[in-house]
Amino acid sequence: MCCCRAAPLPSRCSNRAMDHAPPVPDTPHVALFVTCLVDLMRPSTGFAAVKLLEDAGCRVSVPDQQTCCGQPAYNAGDRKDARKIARMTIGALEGFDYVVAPSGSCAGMIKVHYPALFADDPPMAKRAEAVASRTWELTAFLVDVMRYKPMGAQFDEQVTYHDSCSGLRELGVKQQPRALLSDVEGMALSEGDSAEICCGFGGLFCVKYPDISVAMVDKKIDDMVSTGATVVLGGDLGCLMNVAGRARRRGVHIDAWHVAEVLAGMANEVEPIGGDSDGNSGGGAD
Amino acid sequence: MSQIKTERFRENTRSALADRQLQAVLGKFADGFPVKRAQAIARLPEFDALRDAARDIKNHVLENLGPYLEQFEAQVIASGGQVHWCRDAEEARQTVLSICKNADARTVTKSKSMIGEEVDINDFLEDNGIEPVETDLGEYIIQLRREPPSHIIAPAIHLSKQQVAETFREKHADRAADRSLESPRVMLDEAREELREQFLGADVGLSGANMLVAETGSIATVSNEGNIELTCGLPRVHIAMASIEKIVPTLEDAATILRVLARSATGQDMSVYTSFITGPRRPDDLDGPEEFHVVLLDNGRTELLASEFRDILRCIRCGACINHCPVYEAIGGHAYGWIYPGPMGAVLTPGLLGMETTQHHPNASTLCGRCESVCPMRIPLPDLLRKWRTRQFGAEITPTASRYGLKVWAYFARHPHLYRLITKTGAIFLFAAGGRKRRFRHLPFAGGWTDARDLPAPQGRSFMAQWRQRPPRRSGGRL
Amino acid sequence: MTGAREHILSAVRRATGTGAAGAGADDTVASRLAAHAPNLRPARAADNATVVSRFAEEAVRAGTDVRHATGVDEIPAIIAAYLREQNMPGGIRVSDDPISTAIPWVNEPLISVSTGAADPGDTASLSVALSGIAETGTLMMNSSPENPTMLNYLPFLHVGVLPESQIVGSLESAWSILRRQSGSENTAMPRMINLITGPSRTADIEQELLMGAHGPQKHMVIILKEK
Repeated sequence: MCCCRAAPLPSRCSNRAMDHAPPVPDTPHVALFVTCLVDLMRPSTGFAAVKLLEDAGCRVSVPDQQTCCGQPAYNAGDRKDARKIARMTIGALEGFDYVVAPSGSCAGMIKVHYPALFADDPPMAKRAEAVASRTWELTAFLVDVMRYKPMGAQFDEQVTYHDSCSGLRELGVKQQPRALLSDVEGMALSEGDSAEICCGFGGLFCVKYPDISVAMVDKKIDDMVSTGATVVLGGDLGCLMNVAGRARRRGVHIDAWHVAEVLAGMANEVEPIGGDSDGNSGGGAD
Repeated sequence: MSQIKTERFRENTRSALADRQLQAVLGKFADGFPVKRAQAIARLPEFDALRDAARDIKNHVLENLGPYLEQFEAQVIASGGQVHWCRDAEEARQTVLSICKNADARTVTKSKSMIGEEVDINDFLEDNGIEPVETDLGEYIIQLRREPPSHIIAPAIHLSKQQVAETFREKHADRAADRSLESPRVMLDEAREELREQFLGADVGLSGANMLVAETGSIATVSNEGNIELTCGLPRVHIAMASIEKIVPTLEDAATILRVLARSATGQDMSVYTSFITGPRRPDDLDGPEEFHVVLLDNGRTELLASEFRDILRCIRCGACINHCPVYEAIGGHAYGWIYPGPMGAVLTPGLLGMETTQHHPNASTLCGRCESVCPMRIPLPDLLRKWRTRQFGAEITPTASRYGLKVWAYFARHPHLYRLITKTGAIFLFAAGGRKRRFRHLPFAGGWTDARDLPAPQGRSFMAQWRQRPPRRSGGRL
Repeated sequence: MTGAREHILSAVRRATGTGAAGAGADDTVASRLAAHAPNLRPARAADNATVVSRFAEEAVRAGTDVRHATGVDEIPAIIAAYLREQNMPGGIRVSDDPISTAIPWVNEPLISVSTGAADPGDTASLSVALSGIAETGTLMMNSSPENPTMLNYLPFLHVGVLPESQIVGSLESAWSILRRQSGSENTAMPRMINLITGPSRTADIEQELLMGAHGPQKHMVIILKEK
């Protein structure tokens, strides 16, 4: 799953991932799966996603019957609740051309794990498969389906990228965000050796095993600093909050934005995740 | 067994993270095996297809394990060897002891065997007056230090060369105390000399086996040092210990597994020594043991075979999942508290020791999936970890507070209107509390996060609340 | 431990859903064993005209010293030169194989040659390989009364003489040589098959790679082109 194309493909329908998919409608109707973290913590990421999808020519709806994809329950072994939440979410996401989430982790949950959750319930499995087959991580959707190129985004920063684990290894998201970022003016991207290595967030892992989690994110931050970058971008808010939260506590000058915010040209308007690092090595509200 | 400390995972983790020497050694870890593996694979375009083939071989074996085991046994007997079936560790220990006693053995040389570790054979032989001598350099070092291995293919990877030098100075007491033990080269030469005498004087050689070839009744062994062949070839009796899932059907199947094994383990195309051993010394042979025994161990594997964890029985113990695990890289192997660390260990250990004493193992993972992406046998390790979590949840091994917390959260998650009410107020409250710096240094009930990280504050009203008031544009709006 | 045997086998049968008779499974297994069909073989394992050069290239990569001889009469000079170069004593333990016994040592009077099983005091040994595998530069040694196994392991230097005609692309092809030699469809395995790819090594102390752990620190292959 983690093999990715090296370069953008020439035309919409030659996309390998699309070989067996129906042709892309002129104005695809997209359900935005907001994700619980974006909803609660960082709405700007959601609005950036909406802007990008609309710029790419989609009609965007935000189904009301969505909360969280259920991954915390699923990964904690609570399959019963995970199934209930999945059933509700599938119901909310049916009937659209596509479902897009600004998160590889939540998109992976819907795309990879929902069908597995209903392996013993064929009618439900069929519905899960149908939704799964239309579900995309945001940057992958923009590149692989919509052939979108961002116009006029400007970001004068030295940037490094963090590949979130689920997006990378469950969905093969690797080149797509980089392809999109290559059209952003003023930005320089330097890759770290450990771009593909987990930051230690891991959902509930980071609070259940905080000492291991912090050791992991510290390595990650050291690697980011070694690239010379002062900004980290990524496609998953969980990872970015973990990196930014630790960087703030350590007083390391790394600011984090969701990639969608940069691509939508909004990063200059919204402050980085956890506030900016300039002049403040801690402090904040107690 | 004296060395199981799986229940102390949290304490083990804390001390591992505080151990500067260990952290320094682990810091070098990521530059070693993973880089070499990537280089080896870059030279073999068919690698992923070979992984498929290797997976298919083992799946076929597991589906037909009974007849293959019988076939293997028949071929071992036909070539003059003996097979000893052992249900559990105790039967395996007694079997090895009785073979050693029949051979009047005083010393046993050993090549590295995870099954030997699993049944704790060394302590048992010692308690019965027989001296076991580990001959793999890493195993030899940790045996001198009376430590368990911290990695399945690099058992002494947690030690610095200074620590090894100190150990040699203390344990090789008849050598000059002021000799130089500066470099690994000098230490290796010293160990080689010490172990040469042991090889030549041992009564029994005890080895593991990487594969059991049903077609021929051969055991296949893989090493880089050459100690396995000296262990198997010099003493009068050779005992190989192996678990039942090590079967491969044919020599051709063994060839396929070998193509993925060394590349995944050390990044070599082929380990230096791969041997296929079939029975004892033949008439007119000038060397080789007079007796050849295979100790076949179940120890919980038939239960795994019948369970949703069957896939872990494909494992060929290459260590790739361990070498690529960021959790292992942070805490090392000893923190896991038993002999199988990292992702494969976190799946296997609850299967072999039971869920009750191993509750942390499946949970101390971010499920990042790097292990599965490198596993030569395509074992879905994150999925298997999740399956253990499901079993724990069902058996109420998951801590009560976590279970109830999840239940409450899930209730709200299933009721979007209630959920919105909470998130709406929560977001506003946290926004207001977030202050000028837009983050928290402390937050009640969030110590797991805020003890070492700031928690970013919400931006203000939730997305859903703002979206409802968004003026209609060309998008579809609410549904 | 008959009890244990039956207990394990019945647990396996329960787990795999094959009955006690297991007739279906037995057939599946029997036909797979009889066919011993090769699985996927990578391109670099092909049996073609370049096997000899590929073998040499891969063996060198693995740390083997590769030499070429166009007859057994060239072998003593090659070995004498190597022993001088390595500053080693002039003794060698040689296997009883027809090829090794045909080596004329008379032209190298400084080399003392002995035969038989390896002695712990031996510093160098020579034995004859059954096959060479180009894919990985691997030597296949088989044990026999003429080629005792410990020759490959005890001395500081092991020399494997490899007839060029025995070099094949893959391990699978080497198994075919073995099966042809045994003259039956049932593979007659020698007691030991040793696949050797370079000199002994370890990286157990701080991952530093060192040659010569327990086996030979020097590994030489002489590719012998028969006249």
